[in-house]
Amino acid sequence: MAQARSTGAGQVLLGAAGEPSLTAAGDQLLSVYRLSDPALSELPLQRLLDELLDRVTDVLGVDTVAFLLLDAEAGELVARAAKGIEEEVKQGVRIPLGRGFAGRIAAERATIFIPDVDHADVLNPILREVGIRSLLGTPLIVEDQVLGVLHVGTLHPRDFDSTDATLLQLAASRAAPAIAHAQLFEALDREHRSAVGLQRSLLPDSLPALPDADVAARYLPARDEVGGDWYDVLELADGKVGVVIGDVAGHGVRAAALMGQLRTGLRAYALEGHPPGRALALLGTLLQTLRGRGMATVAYAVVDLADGSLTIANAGHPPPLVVGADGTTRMVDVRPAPPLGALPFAQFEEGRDRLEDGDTIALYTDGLVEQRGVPLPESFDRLEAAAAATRGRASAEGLCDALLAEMVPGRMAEDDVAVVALRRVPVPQTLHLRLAAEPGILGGMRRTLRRWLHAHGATEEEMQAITLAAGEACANAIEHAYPPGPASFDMEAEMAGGALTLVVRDHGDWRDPRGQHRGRGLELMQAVMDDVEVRRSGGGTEIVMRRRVGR
Amino acid sequence: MTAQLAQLEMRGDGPVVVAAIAGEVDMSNAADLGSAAANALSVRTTALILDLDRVTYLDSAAIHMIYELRAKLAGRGLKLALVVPPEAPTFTALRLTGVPDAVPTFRTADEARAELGD
Repeated sequence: MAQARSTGAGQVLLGAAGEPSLTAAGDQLLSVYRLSDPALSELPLQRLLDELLDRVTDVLGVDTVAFLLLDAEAGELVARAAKGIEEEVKQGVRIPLGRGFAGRIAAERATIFIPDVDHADVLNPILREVGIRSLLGTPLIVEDQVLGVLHVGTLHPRDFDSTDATLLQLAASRAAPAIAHAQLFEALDREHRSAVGLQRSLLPDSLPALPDADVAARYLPARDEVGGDWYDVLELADGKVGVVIGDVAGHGVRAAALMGQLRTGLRAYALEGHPPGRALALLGTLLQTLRGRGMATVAYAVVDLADGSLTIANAGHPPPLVVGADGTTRMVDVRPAPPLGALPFAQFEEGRDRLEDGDTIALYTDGLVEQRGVPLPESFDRLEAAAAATRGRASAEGLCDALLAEMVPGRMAEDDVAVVALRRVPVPQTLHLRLAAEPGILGGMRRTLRRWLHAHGATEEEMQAITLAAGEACANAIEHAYPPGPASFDMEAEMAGGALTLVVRDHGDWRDPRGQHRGRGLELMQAVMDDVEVRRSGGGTEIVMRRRVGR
Repeated sequence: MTAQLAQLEMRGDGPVVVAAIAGEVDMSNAADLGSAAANALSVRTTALILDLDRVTYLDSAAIHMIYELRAKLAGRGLKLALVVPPEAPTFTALRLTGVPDAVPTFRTADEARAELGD
């Protein structure tokens, strides 16, 4: 029977080694099995606790069961799951270690029996309110660490014996590792989810809309972990575009956070106008100053959209791939320098190349080409073959998808993968642009129009005059033709018999020139073009301008 | 992200201040450039020179900004001058809208300074 010794105040400590007296061997075995079922350890924490509450209630024939888990930082036990005293969980009852019934169980690592609650030191008022008369509790211990307390109670006085104590300890010994496992898993899952969230928030939410370049990017997180891959596309001054790919060594929140710092750092140097080699050298210096440091590979390419010239520096990245409009493929010739953070004062050589009309450059992280068991040269061959299979006709989006489909089937990557592609849009015979009705689009519109005019033999002076007139017509479409909100308008340019026809068409309501400001715009269009015609209809406004071009 | 089409550099802490713009000025940045130049003036400033020598493109939005700036400065008793050489590509738009007649326009910042008595 119970090996009990009185501890005063109506409490009894039960020896943990108490042998259950197997009066009904079959029932006992079933009880033991129900409390030590190995399937329990596969359940997530909340379901595990709920399941144990039911089984303990049945096996021990008690009215209440409660799990309190230790909040180690606060030094308190927190009610986490309960049956019969559900209020305890709802109210988030907290019991300081060492105090009261549960607090003492955890502090003394002992199974405690209270035959009569009325005469005992019980802190939790809920236990009294419910009318519990007897209590039995045992600590949850894993690898010598107390995780919490499991206790049961009855509404009538009951002499819990050593069999009861042993069964409760059995339930506790089964629950404790599963709880530890589930808590660890929850913590990791929380970390994973916050790392994924952080990673997502640090990548660009949209790429710049450029009328003369088609850009796209993809990011695939690794199957199990969040990495530090990133990409970026930056609209720089003077019609240049920066394309960035990077990969911070390591995984998880730390890698994602460092990635965010490096992405911002490189943006700052790029916008300051530093060429690729210098920008990477500065980024290396920045990395040296960051807490925790780390290493990162980065490639930064600057493309001049006017003539397609490309300058690139590469700190430890696989070589960028160029897919020609004719379907040929090549790797950009740039000597890879060591990763950032590997060598102080590292210098970065710049490689040069040129994107012809319709050529696409793709930068990617090593996750795209590094697969377990596949030799690297073979991966590069497959990458080039997948690119060649697009026959140079794919959009930037299409190329990203084609590369991923070949290299990461099912999109289940072992390491995270980032790809960013930029295609230099060919100069068409007739220019047709659909433009977002926002002022930020004007710079790209002028750049695209200049390139088209240049290809059609316009002189510098003519290009100046025509871009001015186009700028005014587009500004008019943006400023006056729309209610607030996203909208677009169209611009068309056509050259026939040495004469240019330029049409800007919106889908809003024309308003007569308001004040001197807009009046000046119309005045300028009329002054620099041979002919300006404003056609208004219910569906919108069309400004048609003509000018003789070239001698 | 939108490209940074233009840069503004303020020079001089005496009575004559130079606001030098480089790049392109259109409806995406004209108003901001005008306010930034006006806000950088101190109580000691008597004149502002708007240096457009390194501007590669400007349109009616920039011209509107120049007229607004002139009105704002006149209200505070300050003078405005422009720097843009007549052969600059941007001069055409300024000439067509009467800017050089309304705002004293000089070939260089030094000429403007000399005229404004700095």
